Amino acid sequence: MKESVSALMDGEIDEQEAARTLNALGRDPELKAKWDEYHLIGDALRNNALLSVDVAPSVSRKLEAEPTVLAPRPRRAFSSGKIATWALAASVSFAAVVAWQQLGRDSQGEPVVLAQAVPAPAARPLLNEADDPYLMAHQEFAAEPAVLKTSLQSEVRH
Amino acid sequence: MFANSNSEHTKGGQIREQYNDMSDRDIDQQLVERAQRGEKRAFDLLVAKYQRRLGRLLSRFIRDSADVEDVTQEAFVKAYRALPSFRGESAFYTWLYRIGINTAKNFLSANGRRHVLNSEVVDEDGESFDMASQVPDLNTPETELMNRQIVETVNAAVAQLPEELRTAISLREMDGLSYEEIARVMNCPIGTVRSRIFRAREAIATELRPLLDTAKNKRW
Repeated sequence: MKESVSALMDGEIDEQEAARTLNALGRDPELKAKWDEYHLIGDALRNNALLSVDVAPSVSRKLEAEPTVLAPRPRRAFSSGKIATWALAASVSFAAVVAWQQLGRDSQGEPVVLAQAVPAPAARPLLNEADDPYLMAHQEFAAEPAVLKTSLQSEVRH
Repeated sequence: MFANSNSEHTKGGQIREQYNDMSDRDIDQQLVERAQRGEKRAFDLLVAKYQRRLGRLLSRFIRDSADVEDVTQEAFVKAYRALPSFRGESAFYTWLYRIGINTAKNFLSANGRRHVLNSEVVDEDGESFDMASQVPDLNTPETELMNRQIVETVNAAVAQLPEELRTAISLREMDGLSYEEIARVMNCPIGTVRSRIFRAREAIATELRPLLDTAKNKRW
Protein backbone atom coordinates (compact mmCIF):
# COMPACT_ATOMS: atom_id res chain seq x y z
CA MET A 1 0.00 0.00 0.00
CA LYS A 2 2.94 2.36 0.64
CA GLU A 3 4.04 1.84 -2.93
CA SER A 4 0.51 2.76 -4.03
CA VAL A 5 0.79 6.01 -2.07
CA SER A 6 4.05 6.74 -3.88
CA ALA A 7 2.44 6.04 -7.26
CA LEU A 8 -0.66 8.02 -6.30
CA MET A 9 1.26 11.18 -5.64
CA ASP A 10 2.90 10.79 -9.06
CA GLY A 11 -0.48 10.39 -10.74
CA GLU A 12 0.69 6.96 -11.96
CA ILE A 13 -2.22 4.91 -10.74
CA ASP A 14 -5.54 3.83 -12.16
CA GLU A 15 -8.88 4.96 -10.80
CA GLN A 16 -9.64 1.81 -8.82
CA GLU A 17 -6.26 1.68 -7.12
CA ALA A 18 -6.49 5.41 -6.47
CA ALA A 19 -9.84 5.01 -4.74
CA ARG A 20 -8.53 2.14 -2.61
CA THR A 21 -5.40 4.08 -1.69
CA LEU A 22 -7.31 7.24 -0.82
CA ASN A 23 -9.65 5.22 1.38
CA ALA A 24 -6.67 3.69 3.14
CA LEU A 25 -5.02 7.09 3.55
CA GLY A 26 -8.13 8.31 5.32
CA ARG A 27 -7.96 5.44 7.81
CA ASP A 28 -4.29 4.77 8.37
CA PRO A 29 -2.14 7.46 10.08
CA GLU A 30 1.04 5.62 9.09
CA LEU A 31 0.12 5.85 5.43
CA LYS A 32 -0.82 9.48 5.86
CA ALA A 33 2.68 10.06 7.32
CA LYS A 34 4.13 8.50 4.16
CA TRP A 35 2.09 10.89 2.03
CA ASP A 36 3.52 13.81 4.06
CA GLU A 37 7.11 12.55 3.89
CA TYR A 38 7.06 11.80 0.17
CA HIS A 39 5.69 15.24 -0.61
CA LEU A 40 8.30 16.88 1.59
CA ILE A 41 11.03 14.95 -0.24
CA GLY A 42 9.63 16.05 -3.59
CA ASP A 43 9.46 19.67 -2.49
CA ALA A 44 13.04 19.50 -1.21
CA LEU A 45 14.35 17.98 -4.43
CA ARG A 46 12.54 20.52 -6.59
CA ASN A 47 13.54 23.34 -4.25
CA ASN A 48 10.23 25.11 -4.86
CA ALA A 49 8.80 25.25 -1.38
CA LEU A 50 9.25 26.69 2.06
CA LEU A 51 10.16 23.44 3.74
CA SER A 52 9.83 24.69 7.29
CA VAL A 53 6.09 25.31 6.90
CA ASP A 54 4.03 22.73 8.73
CA VAL A 55 0.50 23.97 9.21
CA ALA A 56 -1.16 20.63 8.55
CA PRO A 57 -1.80 19.73 12.23
CA SER A 58 -3.15 23.18 13.09
CA VAL A 59 -5.36 23.31 9.99
CA SER A 60 -6.67 19.85 10.79
CA ARG A 61 -7.54 20.95 14.33
CA LYS A 62 -9.30 24.05 13.02
CA LEU A 63 -11.28 22.02 10.52
CA GLU A 64 -12.51 19.78 13.31
CA ALA A 65 -14.34 22.80 14.67
CA GLU A 66 -15.68 23.72 11.24
CA PRO A 67 -19.07 22.51 10.06
CA THR A 68 -18.61 19.81 7.46
CA VAL A 69 -18.86 21.21 3.97
CA LEU A 70 -21.32 19.37 1.82
CA ALA A 71 -21.31 20.64 -1.70
CA PRO A 72 -24.19 19.60 -3.93
CA ARG A 73 -23.02 16.89 -6.24
CA PRO A 74 -22.76 18.25 -9.74
CA ARG A 75 -25.45 16.94 -12.03
CA ARG A 76 -23.80 15.12 -14.80
CA ALA A 77 -25.35 16.23 -18.01
CA PHE A 78 -25.01 13.94 -20.98
CA SER A 79 -21.84 14.85 -22.66
CA SER A 80 -21.84 15.33 -26.38
CA GLY A 81 -19.81 12.14 -26.61
CA LYS A 82 -22.50 10.15 -24.83
CA ILE A 83 -25.25 11.67 -26.96
CA ALA A 84 -23.30 10.80 -30.06
CA THR A 85 -22.87 7.25 -28.79
CA TRP A 86 -26.59 6.85 -28.15
CA ALA A 87 -27.45 8.36 -31.53
CA LEU A 88 -25.05 5.99 -33.22
CA ALA A 89 -26.50 3.00 -31.35
CA ALA A 90 -30.04 4.02 -32.32
CA SER A 91 -29.03 4.44 -35.95
CA VAL A 92 -27.36 1.05 -36.04
CA SER A 93 -30.42 -0.59 -34.44
CA PHE A 94 -32.76 1.04 -36.95
CA ALA A 95 -30.54 0.04 -39.85
CA ALA A 96 -30.43 -3.54 -38.55
CA VAL A 97 -34.24 -3.74 -38.38
CA VAL A 98 -34.63 -2.37 -41.88
CA ALA A 99 -31.97 -4.70 -43.21
CA TRP A 100 -33.59 -7.67 -41.50
CA GLN A 101 -36.94 -6.82 -43.05
CA GLN A 102 -35.32 -6.40 -46.43
CA LEU A 103 -33.58 -9.74 -46.08
CA GLY A 104 -36.85 -11.43 -45.14
CA ARG A 105 -38.55 -9.97 -48.20
CA ASP A 106 -35.77 -11.04 -50.54
CA SER A 107 -35.40 -14.53 -49.18
CA GLN A 108 -39.09 -15.42 -49.32
CA GLY A 109 -39.75 -13.82 -52.67
CA GLU A 110 -42.70 -11.86 -51.42
CA PRO A 111 -43.12 -8.98 -49.10
CA VAL A 112 -43.48 -9.65 -45.43
CA VAL A 113 -46.87 -8.44 -44.27
CA LEU A 114 -46.33 -6.35 -41.18
CA ALA A 115 -49.85 -4.99 -41.00
CA GLN A 116 -53.04 -5.60 -42.86
CA ALA A 117 -55.38 -2.82 -43.87
CA VAL A 118 -58.83 -3.30 -42.45
CA PRO A 119 -61.60 -1.18 -43.90
CA ALA A 120 -62.95 1.22 -41.37
CA PRO A 121 -66.64 0.90 -40.63
CA ALA A 122 -68.79 3.60 -42.18
CA ALA A 123 -69.58 6.49 -39.93
CA ARG A 124 -72.92 5.96 -38.35
CA PRO A 125 -75.27 8.92 -38.44
CA LEU A 126 -75.91 10.08 -34.96
CA LEU A 127 -79.15 11.84 -35.91
CA ASN A 128 -81.94 10.96 -38.18
CA GLU A 129 -82.28 13.40 -41.00
CA ALA A 130 -85.81 14.02 -39.99
CA ASP A 131 -84.63 15.24 -36.60
CA ASP A 132 -82.78 18.26 -38.04
CA PRO A 133 -84.88 20.56 -40.17
CA TYR A 134 -81.82 22.76 -40.90
CA LEU A 135 -80.04 19.90 -42.57
CA MET A 136 -83.12 18.84 -44.38
CA ALA A 137 -83.41 22.34 -45.82
CA HIS A 138 -79.82 22.45 -47.07
CA GLN A 139 -79.16 18.90 -47.99
CA GLU A 140 -78.62 19.58 -51.69
CA PHE A 141 -75.29 21.36 -50.82
CA ALA A 142 -73.96 18.38 -48.97
CA ALA A 143 -71.79 15.93 -50.89
CA GLU A 144 -71.66 13.40 -48.08
CA PRO A 145 -74.63 13.90 -45.88
CA ALA A 146 -73.54 11.48 -43.20
CA VAL A 147 -70.15 13.13 -42.73
CA LEU A 148 -71.63 16.59 -42.80
CA LYS A 149 -74.19 15.72 -40.22
CA THR A 150 -71.57 14.29 -37.93
CA SER A 151 -69.34 17.34 -38.13
CA LEU A 152 -72.14 19.79 -37.80
CA GLN A 153 -73.41 18.08 -34.77
CA SER A 154 -70.18 18.62 -32.96
CA GLU A 155 -70.09 22.36 -33.59
CA VAL A 156 -71.97 25.04 -31.81
CA ARG A 157 -74.35 26.59 -34.20
CA HIS A 158 -74.83 30.34 -34.00
CA MET B 1 -15.08 13.64 -12.68
CA PHE B 2 -11.94 12.23 -14.05
CA ALA B 3 -10.87 13.00 -17.48
CA ASN B 4 -8.61 10.03 -17.78
CA SER B 5 -6.71 10.85 -20.84
CA ASN B 6 -5.40 8.10 -23.00
CA SER B 7 -3.20 10.53 -24.79
CA GLU B 8 -1.87 13.07 -22.39
CA HIS B 9 1.12 15.26 -22.92
CA THR B 10 3.44 14.85 -20.01
CA LYS B 11 5.98 17.32 -18.72
CA GLY B 12 8.63 15.57 -20.69
CA GLY B 13 6.76 16.41 -23.86
CA GLN B 14 6.09 12.84 -24.82
CA ILE B 15 2.70 11.26 -25.11
CA ARG B 16 1.34 8.97 -22.44
CA GLU B 17 -0.81 6.37 -24.07
CA GLN B 18 -2.44 3.05 -23.28
CA TYR B 19 -2.35 3.68 -19.54
CA ASN B 20 -5.50 4.96 -17.92
CA ASP B 21 -3.56 6.61 -15.15
CA MET B 22 -4.79 9.70 -13.41
CA SER B 23 -3.00 12.99 -13.70
CA ASP B 24 -1.88 15.00 -10.72
CA ARG B 25 -4.85 17.31 -11.30
CA ASP B 26 -7.19 14.31 -11.35
CA ILE B 27 -5.89 13.23 -7.96
CA ASP B 28 -6.46 16.71 -6.57
CA GLN B 29 -9.95 16.80 -8.03
CA GLN B 30 -10.76 13.47 -6.44
CA LEU B 31 -9.52 14.73 -3.08
CA VAL B 32 -11.58 17.90 -3.49
CA GLU B 33 -14.71 15.92 -4.30
CA ARG B 34 -14.18 13.71 -1.28
CA ALA B 35 -13.78 16.79 0.90
CA GLN B 36 -16.92 18.26 -0.66
CA ARG B 37 -18.76 15.13 0.40
CA GLY B 38 -17.67 15.67 3.97
CA GLU B 39 -14.35 13.78 4.18
CA LYS B 40 -12.20 16.22 6.08
CA ARG B 41 -9.23 13.88 5.91
CA ALA B 42 -9.18 14.25 2.15
CA PHE B 43 -8.64 17.96 2.65
CA ASP B 44 -5.83 17.16 5.11
CA LEU B 45 -4.03 15.41 2.26
CA LEU B 46 -4.32 18.52 0.11
CA VAL B 47 -2.93 20.61 2.97
CA ALA B 48 0.01 18.23 3.36
CA LYS B 49 0.66 18.42 -0.35
CA TYR B 50 0.49 22.16 -0.88
CA GLN B 51 1.37 23.80 2.43
CA ARG B 52 5.05 24.27 1.65
CA ARG B 53 4.50 25.57 -1.85
CA LEU B 54 1.84 27.98 -0.67
CA GLY B 55 4.11 28.95 2.24
CA ARG B 56 6.91 29.80 -0.14
CA LEU B 57 4.59 31.89 -2.29
CA LEU B 58 3.40 33.85 0.72
CA SER B 59 6.88 34.20 2.18
CA ARG B 60 7.77 36.35 -0.79
CA PHE B 61 5.82 39.20 0.64
CA ILE B 62 5.30 38.46 4.31
CA ARG B 63 8.52 38.92 6.19
CA ASP B 64 7.90 37.16 9.47
CA SER B 65 7.94 33.35 9.29
CA ALA B 66 5.33 33.07 12.04
CA ASP B 67 3.06 35.36 10.02
CA VAL B 68 3.65 33.23 6.95
CA GLU B 69 2.48 30.17 8.88
CA ASP B 70 -0.57 32.02 10.19
CA VAL B 71 -1.58 33.29 6.77
CA THR B 72 -0.94 29.90 5.18
CA GLN B 73 -3.13 28.29 7.80
CA GLU B 74 -5.86 30.89 7.35
CA ALA B 75 -5.75 30.45 3.60
CA PHE B 76 -6.37 26.73 3.94
CA VAL B 77 -9.28 27.28 6.32
CA LYS B 78 -10.79 29.81 3.90
CA ALA B 79 -10.29 27.37 1.07
CA TYR B 80 -12.08 24.67 3.04
CA ARG B 81 -15.02 26.97 3.70
CA ALA B 82 -15.13 27.92 0.03
CA LEU B 83 -14.96 24.33 -1.20
CA PRO B 84 -18.66 24.18 -2.17
CA SER B 85 -17.97 26.90 -4.72
CA PHE B 86 -15.01 25.09 -6.27
CA ARG B 87 -16.18 23.57 -9.53
CA GLY B 88 -12.88 22.37 -10.91
CA GLU B 89 -12.69 24.84 -13.78
CA SER B 90 -9.15 25.62 -12.73
CA ALA B 91 -6.58 23.46 -11.03
CA PHE B 92 -7.04 23.22 -7.28
CA TYR B 93 -3.66 24.78 -6.54
CA THR B 94 -4.39 27.73 -8.83
CA TRP B 95 -7.59 28.34 -6.89
CA LEU B 96 -5.78 27.83 -3.60
CA TYR B 97 -2.99 30.23 -4.53
CA ARG B 98 -5.53 32.92 -5.33
CA ILE B 99 -7.11 32.47 -1.92
CA GLY B 100 -3.64 32.57 -0.37
CA ILE B 101 -2.72 35.79 -2.11
CA ASN B 102 -6.00 37.45 -1.15
CA THR B 103 -5.51 36.32 2.42
CA ALA B 104 -2.01 37.78 2.43
CA LYS B 105 -3.24 41.09 1.00
CA ASN B 106 -5.87 41.30 3.71
CA PHE B 107 -3.24 40.50 6.29
CA LEU B 108 -0.93 43.21 5.01
CA SER B 109 -3.76 45.74 4.84
CA ALA B 110 -4.92 44.92 8.34
CA ASN B 111 -1.39 45.45 9.58
CA GLY B 112 -1.06 48.77 7.83
CA ARG B 113 1.55 47.55 5.41
CA ARG B 114 1.54 48.38 1.76
CA HIS B 115 1.54 45.52 -0.67
CA VAL B 116 4.92 44.83 -2.11
CA LEU B 117 3.24 42.98 -4.93
CA ASN B 118 2.89 44.60 -8.25
CA SER B 119 4.41 42.38 -10.84
CA GLU B 120 3.03 39.09 -12.08
CA VAL B 121 3.93 35.50 -11.46
CA VAL B 122 2.68 32.98 -13.93
CA ASP B 123 2.19 29.45 -12.72
CA GLU B 124 2.40 26.18 -14.62
CA ASP B 125 -1.14 26.57 -15.94
CA GLY B 126 -0.46 30.03 -17.28
CA GLU B 127 -2.42 31.58 -14.44
CA SER B 128 -0.90 34.85 -13.34
CA PHE B 129 -0.71 36.06 -9.81
CA ASP B 130 -0.38 39.62 -8.70
CA MET B 131 2.84 39.46 -6.80
CA ALA B 132 6.44 40.44 -7.10
CA SER B 133 8.33 37.60 -8.69
CA GLN B 134 11.65 39.22 -8.08
CA VAL B 135 11.15 39.76 -4.39
CA PRO B 136 13.54 37.43 -2.59
CA ASP B 137 12.29 34.94 -0.05
CA LEU B 138 12.09 36.64 3.29
CA ASN B 139 12.89 33.71 5.53
CA THR B 140 14.09 34.23 9.02
CA PRO B 141 17.41 32.62 9.99
CA GLU B 142 15.55 29.78 11.76
CA THR B 143 13.43 28.85 8.79
CA GLU B 144 16.41 29.32 6.49
CA LEU B 145 18.40 26.91 8.64
CA MET B 146 15.66 24.32 8.68
CA ASN B 147 15.18 24.59 4.93
CA ARG B 148 18.88 24.13 4.37
CA GLN B 149 19.06 21.16 6.71
CA ILE B 150 16.19 19.41 5.00
CA VAL B 151 17.62 20.04 1.54
CA GLU B 152 21.08 18.88 2.60
CA THR B 153 19.73 15.75 4.24
CA VAL B 154 17.62 14.86 1.23
CA ASN B 155 20.47 15.52 -1.19
CA ALA B 156 22.87 13.46 0.91
CA ALA B 157 20.35 10.61 1.05
CA VAL B 158 19.90 10.76 -2.73
CA ALA B 159 23.66 10.68 -3.23
CA GLN B 160 23.87 7.47 -1.20
CA LEU B 161 21.21 5.68 -3.19
CA PRO B 162 22.10 2.89 -5.62
CA GLU B 163 22.40 4.35 -9.07
CA GLU B 164 19.16 2.89 -10.46
CA LEU B 165 17.16 4.35 -7.57
CA ARG B 166 18.92 7.69 -7.79
CA THR B 167 18.29 7.97 -11.50
CA ALA B 168 14.64 7.00 -11.17
CA ILE B 169 13.83 9.46 -8.36
CA SER B 170 15.79 12.26 -10.03
CA LEU B 171 14.06 11.82 -13.37
CA ARG B 172 10.72 11.82 -11.60
CA GLU B 173 11.10 14.63 -9.08
CA MET B 174 13.53 16.97 -10.77
CA ASP B 175 12.83 16.38 -14.44
CA GLY B 176 9.12 15.62 -14.05
CA LEU B 177 9.17 12.59 -16.32
CA SER B 178 6.32 10.11 -16.27
CA TYR B 179 6.94 6.48 -15.33
CA GLU B 180 6.63 5.50 -18.95
CA GLU B 181 9.25 8.00 -20.00
CA ILE B 182 11.58 6.91 -17.20
CA ALA B 183 11.07 3.30 -18.26
CA ARG B 184 12.20 4.22 -21.77
CA VAL B 185 15.21 6.13 -20.47
CA MET B 186 16.22 3.35 -18.09
CA ASN B 187 15.21 0.56 -20.43
CA CYS B 188 13.17 -1.30 -17.87
CA PRO B 189 9.48 -2.12 -17.27
CA ILE B 190 7.18 0.55 -15.84
CA GLY B 191 6.55 -1.63 -12.79
CA THR B 192 10.27 -1.56 -12.06
CA VAL B 193 10.27 2.24 -12.28
CA ARG B 194 7.39 2.40 -9.85
CA SER B 195 9.19 0.11 -7.42
CA ARG B 196 12.50 1.99 -7.71
CA ILE B 197 10.89 5.37 -7.06
CA PHE B 198 9.08 3.98 -4.05
CA ARG B 199 12.25 2.42 -2.64
CA ALA B 200 14.16 5.65 -3.21
CA ARG B 201 11.53 7.63 -1.32
CA GLU B 202 11.58 5.17 1.53
CA ALA B 203 15.37 5.33 1.78
CA ILE B 204 15.37 9.14 1.76
CA ALA B 205 12.55 9.27 4.32
CA THR B 206 14.55 7.03 6.64
CA GLU B 207 17.41 9.52 6.59
CA LEU B 208 15.08 12.48 6.97
CA ARG B 209 12.97 11.18 9.84
CA PRO B 210 15.39 11.98 12.72
CA LEU B 211 15.60 15.57 11.55
CA LEU B 212 11.82 15.86 11.30
CA ASP B 213 11.32 14.30 14.71
CA THR B 214 13.77 16.76 16.22
CA ALA B 215 12.10 19.63 14.46
CA LYS B 216 8.68 18.55 15.65
CA ASN B 217 9.89 18.52 19.23
CA LYS B 218 11.58 21.87 18.79
CA ARG B 219 8.95 23.31 16.42
CA TRP B 220 11.03 25.77 14.48
